[in-house]
Amino acid sequence: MRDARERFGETAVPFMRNVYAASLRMCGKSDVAEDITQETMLRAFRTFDNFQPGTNCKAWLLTIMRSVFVNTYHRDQRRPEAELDALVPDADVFATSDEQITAFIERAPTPEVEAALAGLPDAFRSVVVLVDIEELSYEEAAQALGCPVGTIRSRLSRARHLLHEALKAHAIRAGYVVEPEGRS
Amino acid sequence: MSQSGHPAGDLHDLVDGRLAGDARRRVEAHVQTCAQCQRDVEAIAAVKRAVARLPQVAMPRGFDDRLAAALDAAAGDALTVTTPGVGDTPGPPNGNRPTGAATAARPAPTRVAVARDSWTRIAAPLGAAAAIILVALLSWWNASTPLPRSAAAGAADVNAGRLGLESVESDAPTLERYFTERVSFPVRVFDLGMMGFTLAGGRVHRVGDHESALWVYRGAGGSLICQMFTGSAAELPSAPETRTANGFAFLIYHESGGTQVFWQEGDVVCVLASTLPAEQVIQLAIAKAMKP
Repeated sequence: MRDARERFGETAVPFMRNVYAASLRMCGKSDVAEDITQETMLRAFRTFDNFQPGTNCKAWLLTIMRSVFVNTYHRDQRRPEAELDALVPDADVFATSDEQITAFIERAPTPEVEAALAGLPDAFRSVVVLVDIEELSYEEAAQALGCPVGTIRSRLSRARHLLHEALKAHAIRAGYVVEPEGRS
Repeated sequence: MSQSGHPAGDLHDLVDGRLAGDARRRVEAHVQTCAQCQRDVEAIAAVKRAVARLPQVAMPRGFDDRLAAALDAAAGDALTVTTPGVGDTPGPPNGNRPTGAATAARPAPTRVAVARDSWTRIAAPLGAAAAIILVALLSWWNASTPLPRSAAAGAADVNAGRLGLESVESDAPTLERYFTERVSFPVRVFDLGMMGFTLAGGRVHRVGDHESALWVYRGAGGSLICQMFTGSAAELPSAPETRTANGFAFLIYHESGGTQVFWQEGDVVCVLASTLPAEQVIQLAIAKAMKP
């Protein structure tokens, strides 16, 4: 058991911060994120034999973390896919982008980006956290979230659109940019 | 293509590097001729970058220790975060241990009576001159040696016992205070106890021509040598491998049979060097990098 503890310490524990950061961004509460992280790491340790050396340990831990998060802390907040799809139109999702808004987003203040991320529906936020922050591939994110790669692709597109709109709204509200005219 | 004729979904694939071959050429060709899609690609990339550059989340104070205790309990043995101690860690031969411990373990050197004859009166100044030349050569070597090779040499010297440790402090905050009194830049001695490494001590050293804080971790599979110094990662030669994670760029070199991972924390450059498996060294660096 001591060997397993050492191997786990060398292989999995370095990703503890990623697990905590991802769970905090998914749940928004540090005490809950701490509980999720501890439960994730303990569950991972107990099932460490299931981890295949040479594969992405961070993705494996985030898969466990997502399971802990949904099953223990978030079971009542899952929303039907159709409801999520209705939030954003499928095509031309960035049709309202223009240079000055893009320039603002490039230097958007951290609190505004965090707020925009926190404002996303959970299913969208999870994909952004896993793909754009934790740098998982679409396939790894699909494994972690238990959904098809096509769903990851679709949710990521919609999530980025919502983030863009939230940051754009802030830029206009705060007077950083003027309301852009519609494009054809 | 969407109903509007623009490859809306494919633009995300393009930004995420998921398109290849004909699909990539097709989308790129469209983007080159479509002002709207050009703007959208830039907007998607801007959103992606804005999220990716969010600062690291700080771990709650004491969480490392609590988790280590929980894991130890789950492991069902008495392994604690800080054991084995320095004295329990098997080390290589030739006194590859902190200076204090090595001194205590070694027998006192045999004293050899030397007659103060004319030869020794000549030898003394010759020795002094040789020492001066040696110091000058070492200074030149330090200044002209690329930083990765210098970091690798420092690690090799520690492992071979050629470079002793001035402090054998195994408590990270205490060793941090030791450096605070000796170097002019902030030093962050991180704890690797949860990863199975014990802090063995440190010393003031040099990487290239930079004064550095050097400290050592011992683990079952080998040692890790960390150094921090003021400077810029731009001073480093082109790296054969780079990784980006948590907003940091990690420059990875493989000198002298080991791995050296450099990253920048504010005005300080950090390097983790070891002959442990490269991926393990890289992941430890990624896990411990922290924005100042």
